[in-house]
Formats: sequence, structure tokens, C-alpha cells
Amino acid sequence: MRILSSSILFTSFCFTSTIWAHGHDSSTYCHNRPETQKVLHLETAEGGAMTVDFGDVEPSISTSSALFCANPAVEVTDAILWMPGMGHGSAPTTVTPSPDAAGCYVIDDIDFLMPGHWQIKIQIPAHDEEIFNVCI
Amino acid sequence: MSASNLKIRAAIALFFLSSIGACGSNKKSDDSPTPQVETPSDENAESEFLFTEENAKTSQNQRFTAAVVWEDGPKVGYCQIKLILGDAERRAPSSQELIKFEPFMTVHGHGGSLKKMTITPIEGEPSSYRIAMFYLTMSGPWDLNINAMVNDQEDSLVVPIQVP
Repeated sequence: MRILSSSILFTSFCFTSTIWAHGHDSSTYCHNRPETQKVLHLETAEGGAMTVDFGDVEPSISTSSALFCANPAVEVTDAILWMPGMGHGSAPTTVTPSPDAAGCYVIDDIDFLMPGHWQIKIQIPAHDEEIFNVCI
Repeated sequence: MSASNLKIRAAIALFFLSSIGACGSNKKSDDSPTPQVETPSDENAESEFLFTEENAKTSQNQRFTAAVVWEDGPKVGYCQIKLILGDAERRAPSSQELIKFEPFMTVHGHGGSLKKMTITPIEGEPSSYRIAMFYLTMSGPWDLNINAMVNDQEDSLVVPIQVP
């Protein structure tokens, strides 16, 4: 009887945790996110510096654009939004060279669909890609 | 040709033309001795034609019928559909309003990207809407959540789809 009860409990636990993991972003990134994410920083393996700047507000579901800058400047072909914990992305963004800042690109059509851990994968032909993490 | 021949030919032509006119018209004539059968208008005929056993879905409380005709998709990416609304008997409604259209992946708890989505009534096709530029983010089971007011009665409908 005790074995049967334990088996039922274990099966229920597995079932519940499977559903939870499937339906939620199980990434731990958001537990340790920086205090502010208005500007995301990245150092490249070559010693360069890159930023994604959301302006004066924290990135959120209503965010629609950001500014990517690199020093030294790099050519950017795309910025892909990806949710690693869920295995899906979002609609394609639009990337255009900034008319105001050299070495910077405006990323438009950003659509973080849901709260959780997102990645902004900057496509750089010379580097393959650089990944910024952000918690929405 | 004599004048009497010309008169006879004109009378025959007039009779022929009036017969054609009577056949092509659906309007009831009060002075017509024979009863006329009311035929459905072209609008009704088209709506009934577009609702098939395969595509017609009845709303939750049987207030309206809807059909989703895929024009681009379903797929991972931007999709486009034609949505046709009808009354509970699959006829063209006297009034309709599409209140909400939302693709949702219920098993994952998220929707698609709708920032570029457009909903436009289709000209010349009453109670039909073209819904374009809604982005489905991944393959798997999705639900198209539709909320509409048809003949002043609001109801909702969930159309399950499989995105390959």
C-alpha cells in the first residue's frame, strides 16, 4: 500500500513538474537579473564593447525599439529575438544604421511576447553573433 | 418592307425584350397575376456557398457561425486568413462586428506577435474580414480565439489549428 501511494505521489509530481516546465519559462536568468536593464552591456572576445540601449525605460512587453552600438563599429545584418526557455522567438525585427550615431543600429519592430528570459541575438557577419540576455 | 410588316416585327421585339426583363428581375410586381418565389440575394448565396461542412464552426453559445479560410499559412511566420461570419443558420447576418481575433498557444501560455496585424473588412464580400500579418512563433497546437457580435448578440469561438 505504501509503495502504491509513493508511486502515485511520484507520478503526480513528475506530471505536475512537466506541465509547469512546459508552460513556464524555467530559465534561472531572471532570478539573478541586474537591477536595471535600460542598457545591456557586452564585452566581445576581441576586447570590443557592445550595448543595447532601451532609452529611459526598462525593457518590457511594450518595448518596440532599441539602439545597438559597438566599439569598434561592426556591420550588423539582423537582430533575432529568442526565448531559450520556451524554444521560440518572435516576429522579425528591422535593423537599420542609425542616422544619429556612427557605429550604431536602430532595432525596430521588437515584440517581447511574454514575460521571461529573452535573448537578443545580434547577427554580425564578422563575429557570427553576439547574444544579449534580458529579463522581461 | 411594308409598314404593317415593320409594325409586326417591332411588336415581336418588344414582347421578347419584356420577357427577358421579367425573367431577370426578382422584384415582386403587385399587378402580376402569378405568385413569384423569392430567391436569395447574391450576398446570401455567396455566404452559404463559402460555409462548408469542413470550415463552418459554431460559436460557444450557438450565436454565430464562422469560417477560417487560410490565405497564407498556417506556418511559423506571418500568416493571413479570411474570416467569414454568419448567423447561427450560416446565413449572412444583418449586422456583425469582429471584436477580437487572437491566436494563442494555450499549452505554452503565450500568443503570437500581433503588433503588425491588420483586420480589414473585405470589399464586396459582406461579413468577411481579411486578417493579415499575425505572426505565429512556433509549430504545434494553436487556438484562434474569435469574439464577435453578430445580429447584436456577442459570442466567442475557439478554432484549434496545428502549425506545422
